[in-house]
Amino acid sequence: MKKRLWLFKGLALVLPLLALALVEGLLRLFGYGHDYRLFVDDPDHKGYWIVNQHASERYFTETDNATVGNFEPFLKKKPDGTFRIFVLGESTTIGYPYFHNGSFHRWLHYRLMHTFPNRNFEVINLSMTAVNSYTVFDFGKQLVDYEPDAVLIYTGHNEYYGAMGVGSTSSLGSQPGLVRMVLQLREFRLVQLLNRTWQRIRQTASGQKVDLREGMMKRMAADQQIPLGSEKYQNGIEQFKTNLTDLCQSLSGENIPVFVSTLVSNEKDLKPFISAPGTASAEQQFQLAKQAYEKGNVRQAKQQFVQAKELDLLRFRAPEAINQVIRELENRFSNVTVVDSRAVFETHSPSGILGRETLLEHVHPNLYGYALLSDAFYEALKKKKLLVTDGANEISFKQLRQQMPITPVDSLKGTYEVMILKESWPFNEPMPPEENRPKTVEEQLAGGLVVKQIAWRDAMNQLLAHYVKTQNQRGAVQVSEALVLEYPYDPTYYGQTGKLLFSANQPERAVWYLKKAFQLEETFATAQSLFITLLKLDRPDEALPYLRYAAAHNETQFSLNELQVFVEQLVTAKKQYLADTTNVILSNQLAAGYLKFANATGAAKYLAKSLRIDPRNAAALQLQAQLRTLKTAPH
Amino acid sequence: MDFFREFWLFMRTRKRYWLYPLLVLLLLLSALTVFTTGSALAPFIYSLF
Repeated sequence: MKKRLWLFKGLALVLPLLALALVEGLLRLFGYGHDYRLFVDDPDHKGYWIVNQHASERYFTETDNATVGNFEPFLKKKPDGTFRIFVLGESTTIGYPYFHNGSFHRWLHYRLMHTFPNRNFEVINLSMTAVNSYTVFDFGKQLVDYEPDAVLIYTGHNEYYGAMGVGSTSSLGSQPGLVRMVLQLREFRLVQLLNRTWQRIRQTASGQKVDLREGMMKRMAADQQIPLGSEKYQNGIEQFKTNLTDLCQSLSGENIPVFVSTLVSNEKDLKPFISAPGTASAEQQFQLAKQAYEKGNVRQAKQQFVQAKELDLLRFRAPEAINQVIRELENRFSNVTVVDSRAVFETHSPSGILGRETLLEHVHPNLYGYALLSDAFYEALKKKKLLVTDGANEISFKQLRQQMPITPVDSLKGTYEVMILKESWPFNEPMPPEENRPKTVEEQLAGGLVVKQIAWRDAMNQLLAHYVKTQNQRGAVQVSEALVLEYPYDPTYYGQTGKLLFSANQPERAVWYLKKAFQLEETFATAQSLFITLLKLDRPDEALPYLRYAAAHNETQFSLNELQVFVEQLVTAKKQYLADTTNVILSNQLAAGYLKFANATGAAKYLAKSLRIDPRNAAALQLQAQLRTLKTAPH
Repeated sequence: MDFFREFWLFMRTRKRYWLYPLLVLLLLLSALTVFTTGSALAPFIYSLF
């Protein structure tokens, strides 16, 4: 009897757990709440992972306020030779206010894909605005299962006011272990139910919906002042250190190279948001710094500008201690590399003091700043020898800035976003008066993007149509390349860019895009564009496989067999010619071949060779006359 | 069946063995939810970070 009593006691104690498990099971069965896994099957691309749209809800008490980032699919089965990079961080990391191709990861992606044209790169950005190291830690530790070749991290500005930050969370927020436990518990639907119930109670109690009035923001932020060295300040540093150290340990332990960047923030062109009264205030330091700067005492100015930032009671800019935590990581973990972006920005700023030259407001870089950030990571990847370039195709930083497909619409959209941001608290900078003139197409589209009247893809398609209509070839190529970067698995945009580049008389660049399009989807049209472009470039051996494909999948009424025979002969003739480059008969043969198929560029190339060796060669002179006729003939 | 009847009787009379742990667990989860609530500041200033 006693034995049975103990059994009952044991069962009774287990029963609550069973009851909770039952409720949890029922909630799942009826589809309540969300799964917070980082990646889910991409519904639009079979065989690809994509970021779970609900993954960020875990970090926001009010899930309606949860921010989302990019949705960049990547292959479930990583192909050989693919270099996979994950990017973790916050608003700067996702490229605010430009987003899309303004973000540093896209600058890096563009540079990598053109510097290493025969490699495939996947650069997947998992960053989102308003999150901090808790999200970075949580997302980052899940990456070990997805075969990363490198993980790039830029985070640290949001430790105080970001989701679950010490300045934005109630009393338990200062305990990283506890916060992490709560984040794990939010995976349970029962906890999601409790969370939502609590949200509703709060909303009902306050008797209002979200109030965006400036006064309210100001008042609430006033409650969040965090003095330098205070308990909350220290908690923020500790929270960051714990999360980043644990993440680096987890990734480094799996031999995954991690690149963590130091942070940049505006020093000289942003006065402190909130300053304490008294002589050692942020405002006073800022004024002293400005005076020192004007007098040319840049060393003192730098020190005082940084001190003004440190004393700013509204901690939207990471304190120096955060960069110190980052710098120490390199000594602790063998696979961690510190990318000193701060030093790179200093090098590119007057007197090494960061300001409007590289930054838009308090922390977000301008397009030049984002290019610099990408350059810092690129150089670090190279220095670690994860990517070794022979220099043949390497894009220099200067070339990158010229070629990067940031459209005027993207650039203007960023400008407008920042104007709107600065108009309100805590900047309070009035908007410049509107110019009394009709708006350009670019301005109209950028305005539409800012007020979310139009989706980015639609804006780009409209811009492309406008450039094609106005015969702005350079602009059209830029927009098309921008679409390629945004949708790297869509063959349409590669093919479109290839054709536009061909029309813009850039066949070399066209080939790369067309080949990518063909790799993603083999079609007659792409094969046709490819063999035409390659023949124009006098690369018949490369053209032949695409010509054979086109002949086998011919969608036109014209036979390609004759051309195929000709190209086969051309390949043979070229081989012979390369073995004997003084043979005029062979160079004439090649010229005649190209002439037959109206390839003036190829014909001219070989005629020039023939006439250089034998200026009076009758056959060559006759061919030259035919070439002139071809060039003057109406198209 | 006797086993279950006896167990039911046990549960009815000795609630502290199952009801209290259930309440404690629910209170704990609720407390964690309440005390780790983000301030309402964050949603207003997302664009700042």
